[in-house]
Amino acid sequence: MAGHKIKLQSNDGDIFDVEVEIAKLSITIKTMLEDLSMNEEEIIPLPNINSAIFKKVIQWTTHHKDDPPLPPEDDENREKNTNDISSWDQEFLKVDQGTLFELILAANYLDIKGLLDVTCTSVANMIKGKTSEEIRQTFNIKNDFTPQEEEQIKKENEWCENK
Amino acid sequence: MTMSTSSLDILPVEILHHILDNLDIQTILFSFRYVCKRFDSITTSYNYYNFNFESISKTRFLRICHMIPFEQVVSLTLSNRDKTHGQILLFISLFDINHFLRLRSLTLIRIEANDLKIFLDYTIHSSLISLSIDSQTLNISKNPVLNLLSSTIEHYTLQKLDLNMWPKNMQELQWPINCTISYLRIQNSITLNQFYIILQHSPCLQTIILKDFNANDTNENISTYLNPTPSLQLRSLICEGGRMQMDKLEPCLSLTPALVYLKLIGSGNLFNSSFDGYRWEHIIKNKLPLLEKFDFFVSVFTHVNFDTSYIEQIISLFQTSFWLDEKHCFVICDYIIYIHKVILYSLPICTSHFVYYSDKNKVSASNFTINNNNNSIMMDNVKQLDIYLSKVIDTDEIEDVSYLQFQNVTELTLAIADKWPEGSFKFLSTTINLFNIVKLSLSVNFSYEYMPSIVHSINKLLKYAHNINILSLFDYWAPDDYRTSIETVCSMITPNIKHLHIRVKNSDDIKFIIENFKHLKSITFEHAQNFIFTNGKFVEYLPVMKRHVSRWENQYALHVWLDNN
Repeated sequence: MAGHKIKLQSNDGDIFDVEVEIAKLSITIKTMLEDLSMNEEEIIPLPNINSAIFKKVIQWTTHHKDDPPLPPEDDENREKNTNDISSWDQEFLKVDQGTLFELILAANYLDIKGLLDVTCTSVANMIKGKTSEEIRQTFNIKNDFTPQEEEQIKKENEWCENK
Repeated sequence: MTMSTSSLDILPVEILHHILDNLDIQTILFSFRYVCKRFDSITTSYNYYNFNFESISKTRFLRICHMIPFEQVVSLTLSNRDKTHGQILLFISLFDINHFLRLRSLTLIRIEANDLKIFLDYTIHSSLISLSIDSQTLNISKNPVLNLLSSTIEHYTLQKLDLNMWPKNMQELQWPINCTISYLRIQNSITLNQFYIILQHSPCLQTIILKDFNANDTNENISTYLNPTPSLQLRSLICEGGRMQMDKLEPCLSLTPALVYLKLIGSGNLFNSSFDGYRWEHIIKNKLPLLEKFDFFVSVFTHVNFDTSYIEQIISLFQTSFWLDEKHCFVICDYIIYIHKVILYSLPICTSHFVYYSDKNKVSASNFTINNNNNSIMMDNVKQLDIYLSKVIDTDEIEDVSYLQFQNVTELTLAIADKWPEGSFKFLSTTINLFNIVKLSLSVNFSYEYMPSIVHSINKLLKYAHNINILSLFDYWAPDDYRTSIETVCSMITPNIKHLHIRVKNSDDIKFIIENFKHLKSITFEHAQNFIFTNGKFVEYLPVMKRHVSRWENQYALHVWLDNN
């Protein structure tokens, strides 16, 4: 029913009134409401999401509430995604890396496929075409290979490194 | 789970796998994998590999095939196009397609009939969901390939099928009953009867994409013995790259009353109703009651004395309430003066290939008021853009361009008649998002007097548009141009370029390029006009270079897919 709202609580205590139809874009919340027969007065806790990230999630789901449903992902239906991101989503994803990864984790926990797809695509676009060292620098990742392992990798790839 | 300290390397494995779903195989195996030990382990456990070998060096191709167990691969693309000539034969000689136990998607580009048979023997027993075949073999009707293809189509798992075959082969293909295909693309002309049989035999078909309806098909109507009944399942019909013949289209649209999307791209005729907004309004109202969107791009060459006021007349038929209020369909009609061509198209533009003409080169009319606000997304579907720079550039126009008109172009073709036109770089960089361009094709005059300005400007362009890795150089090598050396021409080949297509005059040109540009992954050598290749000389020469000649494609070109050592 359009307009009906439920209460969702982030892990830092903030309570959000969210339209049921928008909240149900999250399969996790949809399941809670339908399978666990939670009523609209109850506050649904979201222990894995802080309020700043949840605000972003609501912003995304509100914008995408009328999108056609995506097919469920399984072995039979795991087509390669295109790397195109809509202009609105590109603007939405202009955030720092920490926020981007928190959004990915929130989308995964809440089971919002569209948001998970677009955030993962965004990270993939940041990786694409980069060397290992450039990826480490971009994401501040420590190289934990030993010098011997590095030597081995170098040897393995020597004959086809042409970049 | 604490989220505030999130970073890429500590994301759960299922999310990292999801990110890998969006990466190409080379980035995964030669960059991502070696970032840290965890990523190494994650790429080992990942089992949704997409082996897309459309653009790869031969060495990496072999390395990847030996690196990843085939049961971890869900998608395979093999290509005999210029960039990887001979790849399919090499694959067959070294590997067994039957070892790809979990393959869901298979794409075979420019495959020969004999090689195709090997893959079709596999597909009829596989669990493929998606199959794409591009076979340019002239006549495959006498070997068992067409029967195997029929059996494959009948196969119960296939949902998406893309076929590009010679029309004669297509005509002889018996279309079987299949109950799973929902998406079908046939990149050829088909007859109305074939169209009808496909509809009747494919009860799940929702989208069909064709070139056009066969012009030689003299049956203007569906054979009466077929007793045609409308298909209620088809939702999208797209015809692109062919001829728009209203006498064929109208009976076809009578069979598809449930269409919600119609797209027509092709050459029309001013004497049939392909440009007639009134006629289209009538067809849509009477035959396509559920149609939500109609995209079109129709063009035709006219006689030299074409009356340009006709452009306004064409547009006036799209100024009705039906087009503007009901369908929200914005339409432009251009007459390109110097080539005498009329183009009628809806916006946003629906074709991926577009030729840019400046305002001074055309007469235009539209059924709406054009401004920069509604222009911003109008060209987003354009991926291949052609510009005749020498005609387009003029100072006034450069002043006018203030926004990126072409955001998503990946292939740019520039034609230059003489010297590099002044102001071109500014025009290109303000009109096109040059960072998305991967392929640059140049049709230039290699005359010695123009080459310095062209070489200098192209080098500047390639430095700026740093993602360009494919360079095609076309010219006319008129006898006067022989004084331009291959060294000068090749000074446009920067280290970013991995694939080269070039016209050459003789074997010394080939030798020079192979010896001096070792970073190239593939080269297509095309004969310059008026020269005849002495094939034997090259075949003798190339093995000495320890490079692999994939094969001679035809008498005009030699394709070389290169090793790196």
